[in-house]
Amino acid sequence: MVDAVSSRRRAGIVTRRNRRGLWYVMPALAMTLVFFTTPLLGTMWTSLHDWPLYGDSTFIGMDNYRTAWNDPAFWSTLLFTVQFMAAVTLIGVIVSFGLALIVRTPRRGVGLLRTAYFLPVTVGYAAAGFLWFYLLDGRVGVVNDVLLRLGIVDAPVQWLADVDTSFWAIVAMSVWKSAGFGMVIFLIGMQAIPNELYEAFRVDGANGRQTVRHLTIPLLRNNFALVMVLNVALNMLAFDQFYAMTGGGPNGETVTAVYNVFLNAFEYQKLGYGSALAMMLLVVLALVSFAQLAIFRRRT
Amino acid sequence: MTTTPTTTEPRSVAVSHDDGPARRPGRGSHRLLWYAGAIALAAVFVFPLYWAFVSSVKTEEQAAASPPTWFPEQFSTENYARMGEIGATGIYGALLNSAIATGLAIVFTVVLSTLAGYGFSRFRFPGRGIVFAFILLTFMIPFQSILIPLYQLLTELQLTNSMLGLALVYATWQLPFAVFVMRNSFDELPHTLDEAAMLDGCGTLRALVRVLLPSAVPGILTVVLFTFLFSWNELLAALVMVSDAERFTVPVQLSLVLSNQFGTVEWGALQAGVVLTVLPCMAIFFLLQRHYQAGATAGSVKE
Repeated sequence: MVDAVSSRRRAGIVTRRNRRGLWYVMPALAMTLVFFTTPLLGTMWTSLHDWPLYGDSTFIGMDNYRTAWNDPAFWSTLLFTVQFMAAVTLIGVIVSFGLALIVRTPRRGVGLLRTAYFLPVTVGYAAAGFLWFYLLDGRVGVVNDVLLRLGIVDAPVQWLADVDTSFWAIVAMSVWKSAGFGMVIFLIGMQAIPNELYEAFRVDGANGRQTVRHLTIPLLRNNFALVMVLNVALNMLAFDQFYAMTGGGPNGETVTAVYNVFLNAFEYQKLGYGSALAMMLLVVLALVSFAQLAIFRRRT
Repeated sequence: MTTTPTTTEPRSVAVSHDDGPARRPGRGSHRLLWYAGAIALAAVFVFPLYWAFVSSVKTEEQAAASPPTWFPEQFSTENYARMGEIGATGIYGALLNSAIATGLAIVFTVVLSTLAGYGFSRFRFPGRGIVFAFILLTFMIPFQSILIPLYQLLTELQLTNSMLGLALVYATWQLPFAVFVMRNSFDELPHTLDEAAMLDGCGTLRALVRVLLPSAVPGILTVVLFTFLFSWNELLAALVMVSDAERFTVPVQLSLVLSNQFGTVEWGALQAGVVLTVLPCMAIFFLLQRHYQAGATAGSVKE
């Protein structure tokens, strides 16, 4: 039907037109190359040097990595960050799922409740940090006021002056700030479960708790995975709320991994050492991601 | 549902007959309990924001009162005025800086991701898969880990202390997500749309702008929303890339209130700053909230 000449010509036009696709993706590719790939290679390169903020750099091979490996501060910030990440992720996943269960059924006022739970997500971590810094203050803070009135504490607590209380205070703040996001992801999954399944469970005499345990949770496995992965990545890289609320104190005990990179590079002006710390953080994150991927693969 | 009405209908009727009346009294109290719990929880989530607002319109003295007062005894704007005086530019100068950086970042992200999304969706050029994977892969690498060379690079380009520099950085970090969203939204549009336009003699760019773009608006708004929330609130890069106090963005400016020369915190002013930072985020969220869910699912549909 189609003669060979015109079809070949059309093929030629199509190929030529397809090539044009490269022009459309070029700006984004160039941007990524200049402002992402180059600095990434730069991190590797800088990490092999003694590189002060001002002045000349000297190549020192793997020395920065050796120093970091033997630096107790590196390990303590990493451990602190992992603990923080684990606490926020565990509590955050449970709270997000609970919120989604509460606002799952369309009832009067449910839209308003969803908005209320979600509202803190729109607030930035820095602003949220400065807000909670005020709420938690030992003298003027409203949290102490409430706890005193309820008789839960007898004297005002200096929440952010102690490493344990500031840890849990910032965990609470971070869950408050991010739980609504997880809720949305769970809600999307719950809305995809057909009503017939719920009805089948009801017919079989399952109560609410059994339905959640044997129907909702297994069907939302992917949503759990996603909320967890996002929480892990987000909180392993936590910085803003610590910068705003504790400034890394008391005695540098609430310095997170990213905070440690920031301090070494831009406060102590050791760009090389900071880069080595950044590379190690990158590797840790990659390992965590692969571990999660492997766990979820095996489950499915 | 509509295809097999005979099998589903009797069963659902049976359910409501057997279960309905017996459960109803229990359900009523259950519902009351549900409302009580849900509303109490909502109060916990909203309270900090209420508190920031209420404190910001107290007098400075009252905002720093111990124990705190739960309602402002007199309405005052002095904290907002005070916030305008702190630092080199005051909070209002910082708001302007943030608006410029955020606005530029949105423009860059939208333009680049629209072009790239169109390219990936409509053209089978050689290396397409690799380039796409290459851009998306940066999503896996935390931007916090490339900050040091990025600082050196921007210094080299004389783009430190510059909202343009910050915007370029923010746009780059938003690109993988944005390209992914835009590729998907072009994929959802029928090919007949732009093919017809091209048969009418439109070039590929004209087909994009005239024919496809209007239908891709939901995707673009998703990109706008996420780029706004990210850029407006970003702290770490803004701290590193900007040292000139005239160019501080809002999150950096807020930290100045903590480190004033007297070593005391001006609580009311700080909360006024928080409110001014948060309000634009809430406004744009309420404006575009329909598009939030699309962004939230973008990660999960990939599988």
